[in-house]
Amino acid sequence: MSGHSLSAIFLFIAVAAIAMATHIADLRKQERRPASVKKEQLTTAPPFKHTEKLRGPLNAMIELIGAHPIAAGDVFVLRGLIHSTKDLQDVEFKWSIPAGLEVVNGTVAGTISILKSNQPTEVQITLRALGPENRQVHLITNAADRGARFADSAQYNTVLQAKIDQRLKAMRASTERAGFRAKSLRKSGAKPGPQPADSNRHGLKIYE
Amino acid sequence: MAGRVLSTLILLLSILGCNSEDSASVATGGRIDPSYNGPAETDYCPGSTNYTGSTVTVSGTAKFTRRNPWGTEGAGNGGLGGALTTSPHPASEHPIRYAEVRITDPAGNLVQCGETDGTGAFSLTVPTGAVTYTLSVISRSYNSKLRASVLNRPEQNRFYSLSQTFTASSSVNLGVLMAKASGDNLGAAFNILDQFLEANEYLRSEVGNCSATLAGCLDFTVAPKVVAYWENGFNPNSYFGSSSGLSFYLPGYSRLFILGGNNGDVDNSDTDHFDNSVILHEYAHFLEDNIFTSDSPGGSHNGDRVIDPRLAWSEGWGNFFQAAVRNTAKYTDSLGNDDGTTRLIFDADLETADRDEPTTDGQGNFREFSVTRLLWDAVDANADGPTNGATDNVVSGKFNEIWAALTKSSDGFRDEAYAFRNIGHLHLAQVALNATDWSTIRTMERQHPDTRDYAQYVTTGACADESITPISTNTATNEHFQTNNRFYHFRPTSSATYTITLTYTDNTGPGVVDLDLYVYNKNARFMVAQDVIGYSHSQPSGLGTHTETVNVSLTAGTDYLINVNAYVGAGLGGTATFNLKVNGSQLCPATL
Repeated sequence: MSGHSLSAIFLFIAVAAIAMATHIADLRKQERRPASVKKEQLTTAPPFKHTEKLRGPLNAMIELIGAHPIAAGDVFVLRGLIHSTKDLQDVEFKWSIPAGLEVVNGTVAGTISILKSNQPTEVQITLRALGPENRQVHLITNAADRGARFADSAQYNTVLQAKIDQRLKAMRASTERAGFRAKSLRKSGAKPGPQPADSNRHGLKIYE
Repeated sequence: MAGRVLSTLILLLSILGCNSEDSASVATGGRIDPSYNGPAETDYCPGSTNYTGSTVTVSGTAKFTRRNPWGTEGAGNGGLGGALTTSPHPASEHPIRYAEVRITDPAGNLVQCGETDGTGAFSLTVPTGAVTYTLSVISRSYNSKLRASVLNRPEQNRFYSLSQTFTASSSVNLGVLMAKASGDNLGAAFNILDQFLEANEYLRSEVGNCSATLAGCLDFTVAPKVVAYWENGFNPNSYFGSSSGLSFYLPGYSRLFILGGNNGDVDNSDTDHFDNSVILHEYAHFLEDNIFTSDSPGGSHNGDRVIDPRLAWSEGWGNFFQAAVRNTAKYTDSLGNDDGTTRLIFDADLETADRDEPTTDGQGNFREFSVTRLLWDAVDANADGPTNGATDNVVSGKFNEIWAALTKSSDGFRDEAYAFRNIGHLHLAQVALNATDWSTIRTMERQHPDTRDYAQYVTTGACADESITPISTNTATNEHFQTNNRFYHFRPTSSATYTITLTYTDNTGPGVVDLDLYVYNKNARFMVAQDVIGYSHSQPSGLGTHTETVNVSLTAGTDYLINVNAYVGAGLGGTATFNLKVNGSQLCPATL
């Protein structure tokens, strides 16, 4: 290939890159727009439009209080938060404690007689690690309402939780980048690479 | 010089880009994003190979184990403690039907392939010889019955296989090959595949020849190919940075992501690989995306509040479809497994109006379970009611009418005149069939048979002003979403900058109604910045007449949603009358 051809290719790529960068900058500006909303606060959409499965009103979360266990014999405290988007009665909860951990203090299972809407209830448990291995603790909660039954489960990893949280953050960032690329492609009229499934009869749709 | 600088810049950018991708890949454990196009999926079996000379036959039956929801559906206390949580949970064996079968030699070369039949049986021939082959039943189908692959992840596109070796010195029957619901949980992959087949079988049975009775109805043969990604212990919500369990469909990509657990755990976490309600619900989203069309904005929903009617329609359709295929008025989503703790994460009866009940006329168009119940009432044989003064004693076995309304290209969901599709559009299309009268089941669910409540098409004309009487916000019921908003579908006939003006008058007091004006693009996700193309929301100084004006550049033939929104952050006010004008001409309801 001649030097001229190479230069031309580089020039084309460079122009395309600069155009893309400008385009991205414009899109970022657009994403912030409108910036001066004073009433109904406009929100930002997730990176890809996607459906979601039904979720009941119950939600369980686990937080670590203090330091996480490192060595055998370390004692640590987990705080469970049980939340509901509606008033529920007789909400059951249970800590699922795997082998390798022992309960030092707290109630492993119980019932919350009344869980008020948007008023989380705390359930706390103190555990001792019997070894240095990662153990998965779960908080499971369930309730019934008007003939329907709901549950939720939260997980805490004694050793790996920080790494898992970092990984989740990295995956979200990766997905956001992809969503941004998809949006850019849509705006430019280009299509992404080949799809594994049959051709969509309505043509490819890219959602933000 | 400039060329060198640019070249260096590009090289640097490339290196940085590569490093960024690599480091991201490491940080995410090899996962990139749900839309990622990884290596091409291995080609499907190209057809059986005919061998000359001596051959032997290898035969057998492929099955999988399904862990069933514990507790009798519709009765008992399943998953809430007590006798029904005893382990092991009920399980059942099922044939792996119409799935790909591959035979490979010791070097991994494909020497024969075929498919299982409707009983899971397979019979293939290979050359006679003292060679040890591997027979694998694959988590894929691509035939007249089903077109689907269950793969591990977009970044790898690997299928699952149920394998056994044999020596080809003589014909051999391998007996039953069983994909289990424990250990590697291979049964889960085949259960997902089997549910897709169930959906296709149902559709062939119900609407394989619907055009014979309903003109324009799309006869169903087999759905386009879908890919389901599932991995034991993996939570697809990780792609969105959340640890909350999630299965989802990715519109435009024909991809389902099925929840396989959380951080390797399947015993105490939410999983969906055996929750057929969830699998079929998400497949229903695939159908609406590929066979008819969907305008759902996506997002979360809890089945008990007023939501965007497009979302209510789409999710209500999904809830209904899983019930129709499974022939039970239940939605059942379970948590955990035999070796851990089990619960029912969402278990509800779709027949009874004990949740998501509309409280005002038209509100049923905004509630997903209202949509679900109505569709279910259209197919079931129960004489329900009386509810809201009506009894369903006339409508049953009408899935064909639902399908016709969804698939007709004229006066149906595929009609290009439709936009921002919701249950109101389905009613319009169903009425246009001139078939069964659904008025009783609509009344039971307090649904309007048109789009007056959402996405009413408007164009310039003459009409009376409308009114809004705002109510307080309530995040539990979200009823203000309907009461405090009006949504209109506008499609300009020429490309230009348009001035859209909202004029409203409130003389009722004692407070002041504050109406705002928003113009959305076709995505029209409520109050999402990317979709708002123009807005005006000034604060009224007091009772009287006020205006909000938006100047927006609109494209001919493109659909926009105009939203009149009552802001109640500063108080409710009384009742405001209002009208909308485009370039000085009033907008009024019309038929597109």
